[in-house]
Amino acid sequence: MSDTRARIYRHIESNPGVHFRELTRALDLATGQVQYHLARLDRVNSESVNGRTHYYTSSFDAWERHAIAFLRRETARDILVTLIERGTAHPGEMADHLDIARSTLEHHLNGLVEYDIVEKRRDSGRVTLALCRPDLTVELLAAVDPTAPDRLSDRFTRLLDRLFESE
Amino acid sequence: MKPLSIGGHLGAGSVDIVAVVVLSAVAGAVLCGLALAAYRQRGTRAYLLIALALSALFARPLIALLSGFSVVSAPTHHFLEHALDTLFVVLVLGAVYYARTVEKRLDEEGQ
Repeated sequence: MSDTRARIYRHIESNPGVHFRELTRALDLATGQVQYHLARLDRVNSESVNGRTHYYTSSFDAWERHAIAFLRRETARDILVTLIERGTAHPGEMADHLDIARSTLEHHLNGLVEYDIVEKRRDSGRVTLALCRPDLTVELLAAVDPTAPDRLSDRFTRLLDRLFESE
Repeated sequence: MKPLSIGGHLGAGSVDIVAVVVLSAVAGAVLCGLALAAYRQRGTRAYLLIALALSALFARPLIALLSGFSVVSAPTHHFLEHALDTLFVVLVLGAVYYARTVEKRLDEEGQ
């Protein structure tokens, strides 16, 4: 394995769910170079979540790969942390607690529910949110942290959501 | 009466105006990138209009740079700056108008 390829692998290993552009930036490599080596690294998996591609070593299964992608996004991470702390929550409480617009919450819940990370329990017409696999979610929480550009992008979208939703 | 005057023209090589224009271009590019990312996530007209409005804002320092390199004349620069201001305002007003459809979509989902 070439030196560059080993560097790419090590970076993915220590940053599970890293984005393509972060890889080129952190390792100071050209786009084509990273593409070339990624195509030849068979111990690396990629996952596209909400239009962004993340890279992982093969030690993570599909559920873990999706959960990591969400834990790298600030608002989705906040939702998961709230559920870890409280066990369950109603959507209205959650939006109030995180001080986000209801549309922001629903947008993130769509993805979280689709990939079986959060479940919506419906009893007598009321929705309760809960983690599908709480223990594993806690474990992965420690493995990843959102990057500064991710946080900035998340906050700007939240700001617009709120501007458009207020009366 | 003597008109109020600070700074200088880009073409005259004054450093302060170059610094301001470059800073404005960099900050504008970041803001524009954030707005485009928000539009990509939400995909509604209001977010698109905000992204376009911030693109118009980002275009202003670019025009100033073109004027600095004498690619566009000073009167053209002046006209384009005011045209971009107008475009910015119209696009933001449009976004405010279409923000209503975001609420409507939520109502339809029974939220």
